[in-house]
Amino acid sequence: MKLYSLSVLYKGDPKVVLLKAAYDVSSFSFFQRSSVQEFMTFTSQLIVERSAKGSRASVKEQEYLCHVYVRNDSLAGVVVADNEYPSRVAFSLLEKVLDDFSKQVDRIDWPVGSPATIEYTGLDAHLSRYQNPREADPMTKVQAELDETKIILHNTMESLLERGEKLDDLVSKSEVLGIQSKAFYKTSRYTAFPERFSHSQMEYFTEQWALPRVPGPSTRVCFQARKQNSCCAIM
Amino acid sequence: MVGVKMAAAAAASIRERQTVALKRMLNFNVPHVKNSTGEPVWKVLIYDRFGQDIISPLLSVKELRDMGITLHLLLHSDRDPIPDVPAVYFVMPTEENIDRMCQDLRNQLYESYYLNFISAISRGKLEDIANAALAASAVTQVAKVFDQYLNFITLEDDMFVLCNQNKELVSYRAINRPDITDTEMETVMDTIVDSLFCFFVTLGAVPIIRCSRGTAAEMVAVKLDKKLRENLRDARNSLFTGDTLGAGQFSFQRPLLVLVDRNIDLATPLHHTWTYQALVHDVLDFHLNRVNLEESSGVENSPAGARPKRKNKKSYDLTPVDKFWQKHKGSPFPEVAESVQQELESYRAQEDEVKRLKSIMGLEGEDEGAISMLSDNTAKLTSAVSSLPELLEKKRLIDLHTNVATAVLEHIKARKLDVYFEYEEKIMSKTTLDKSLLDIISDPDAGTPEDKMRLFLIYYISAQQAPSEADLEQYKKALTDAGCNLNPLQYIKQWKAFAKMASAPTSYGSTTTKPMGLLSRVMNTGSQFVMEGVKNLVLKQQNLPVTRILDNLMEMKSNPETDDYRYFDPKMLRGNDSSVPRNKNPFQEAIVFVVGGGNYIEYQNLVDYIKGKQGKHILYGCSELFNATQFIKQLSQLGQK
Repeated sequence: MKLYSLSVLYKGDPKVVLLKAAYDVSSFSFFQRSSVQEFMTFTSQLIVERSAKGSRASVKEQEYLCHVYVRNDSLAGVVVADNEYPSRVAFSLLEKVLDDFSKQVDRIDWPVGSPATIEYTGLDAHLSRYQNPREADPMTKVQAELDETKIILHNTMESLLERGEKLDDLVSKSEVLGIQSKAFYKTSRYTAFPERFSHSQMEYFTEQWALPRVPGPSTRVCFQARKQNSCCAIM
Repeated sequence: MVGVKMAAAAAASIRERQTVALKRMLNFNVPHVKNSTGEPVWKVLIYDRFGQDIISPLLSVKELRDMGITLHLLLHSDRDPIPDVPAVYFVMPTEENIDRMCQDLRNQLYESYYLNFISAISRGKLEDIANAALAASAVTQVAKVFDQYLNFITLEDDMFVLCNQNKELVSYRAINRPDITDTEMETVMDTIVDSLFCFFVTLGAVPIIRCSRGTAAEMVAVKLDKKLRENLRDARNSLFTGDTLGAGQFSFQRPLLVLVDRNIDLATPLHHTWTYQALVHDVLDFHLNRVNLEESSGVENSPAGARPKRKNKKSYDLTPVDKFWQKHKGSPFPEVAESVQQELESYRAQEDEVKRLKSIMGLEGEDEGAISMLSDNTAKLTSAVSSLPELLEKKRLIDLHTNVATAVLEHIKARKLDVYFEYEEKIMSKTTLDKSLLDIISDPDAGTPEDKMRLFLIYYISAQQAPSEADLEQYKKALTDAGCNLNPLQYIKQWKAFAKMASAPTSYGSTTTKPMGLLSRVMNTGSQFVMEGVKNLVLKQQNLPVTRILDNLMEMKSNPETDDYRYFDPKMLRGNDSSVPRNKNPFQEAIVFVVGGGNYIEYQNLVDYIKGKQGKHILYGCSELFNATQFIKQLSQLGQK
């Protein structure tokens, strides 16, 4: 699993301008390195040229996958990776980088910039950090952490369960709560921290407790419901 | 006339030049006059392993004796003091060697010391020696200190390699491995350039350098140009003027140095070959002109039952003195076999003649009419006797070549190398293949797993388009079933992907081999070389990539492959970067040097190419010499992730 280059470009009309790039060609033999670097620059420029604004694409070239993201404001990023590198991580990297870049470099510099004139030093750091996708990407990082921390969570859940049980008693005892809200409450109990869990984790929990999936707005509602546990008034 | 003579002298073989330089060194750094009368001064020769490798292909022990060397020893061995004898040292100027030499000085081992360094010694180390000499009060004993600039090994009149001892340092793998740092690469390049520089000093000529761009060859070219230039500018110390040069400096034509990188042609080192010398290098243990054979003697009878066959090891030196070798080292193998047979027959005829004379002389006393025959026979006997040494030598050579050729033939038969050769020739010249590749790979009788791997790699390298995924999987499976390791393929895939990206694929010329059918070439019943079942393939002249490149550059032909090559002329005052050669005339002399390793197949191809051209000479050199087995090993290491 490897990343070879990371570049930021500007999709001008008609020409595409390379603003900044970082490369990792250490896996190529000494005399191939400069050629490979040039080749990747070229490919990146070509791909951006052929991609529409506001699009994301992955282009396969021999043993390499080039992921490109062109924003609506014509700022584009290309990352060249091998076939094994997870594309989701690649795209999140691109988004992050472009975001970072647009904050640090003035918009007016984009159409006329070149690697020499643009002052942005974060690319090398990003490239080397993202060589290990698990380390770098928050989602996979959390995934990894969750894999390791399932036990911890379990404890928390258990402790939650105890509390929940009390809450349950309260909920079931309450006569004010409608049947629907009680059911709803049962659901929300186990999804107390929606923002931190990924969908798959939600699935895990919902499966575990045989609950329907409760994504999006309802989780906020559940949260509110929890806060208002005493006065379970759900509109 | 003078010009022609000088030009001819400049084309003198590198072997001769290096031998002359060595002899001069052994003669206390005074030019050696061949027919000088009187006994030579007896001396001791001390060398390190580098020195040994340089001397052994050039001077036999007998020749050393002729120069007065009574004893030759390794530097790092225990040596007893011999206080009344001068010692000639021939070593590399490394830390260890310098320390040992200083120790020798302190221990007062010899009467006088003639220190010769294979390549130039640095000032600091020279001072170390001076200090040691001073401390040991041995300053007067250090008679001469020379930089010999002989840091290369000459194997043939027109072939040299850089080194043998530390060849891992400059191997193909060392240059092409991905995890090399800048400093390591610098060291490798410096080693190569140092040797090449020594080569040109010994040759006595400043070449015009051409090299391809973006490769290791380019780096070597840049550094060599710089080194030559610096040396030429240094008026006091220039090695290219004065009498060390000899006739070379008056040559009107400067030689062309073509630096190529191994990566332009990876198929040739893997190719199964059909010429004698290349075959010996491929299938037998052939090293620095010495071949080592294992001969199994018959089963020995002993009371305890049959002992397993004991293998005798025999080694032979294949030298320039060996006329048969010189004549046939580039011949196709069937021709060699036939020639050995012919030599044997002519030898037997001469032997019979001598025996006949012997018996006649024996009967002479009884025969009365013999006196008239006497003078006749005397003449015959005299000639027979005088030709005896020649005859004995001939016998020795015939034995030698019979053994070697038999060993080679055994390999050919067991591994069906003729089949491989023919098939690969067809692949490389893009003619249609009558048998499927898969068939050959899956055939359990044909060849070792390594042979199959070689064949497949050649196919993969020469293919215009890489085989489809499905096909590749099929081949891979067949190869694994046959017992091959797939690591070399991994590396070749990467190489090919890069080569495709960087430039057009190389072509191996269009030619055909004409097999004389599966004719059983049983020469005669007494022949040991029963080539039954072995195809009598005839090599047709084809130019390998390296030869083609040389042809373009030497003859100043315009060709997209070589037009972009860089041009260096160390003699020009201002080095410029243009690739436009200023010299428009074809070159008479050229040196081809392959950075990353070479082999006998390429060498033979160049020799064949230049044979047809009157008055032109080529020298072939490489950073290391490997056969296919060694090369596959390196590819395998490179392909491991």
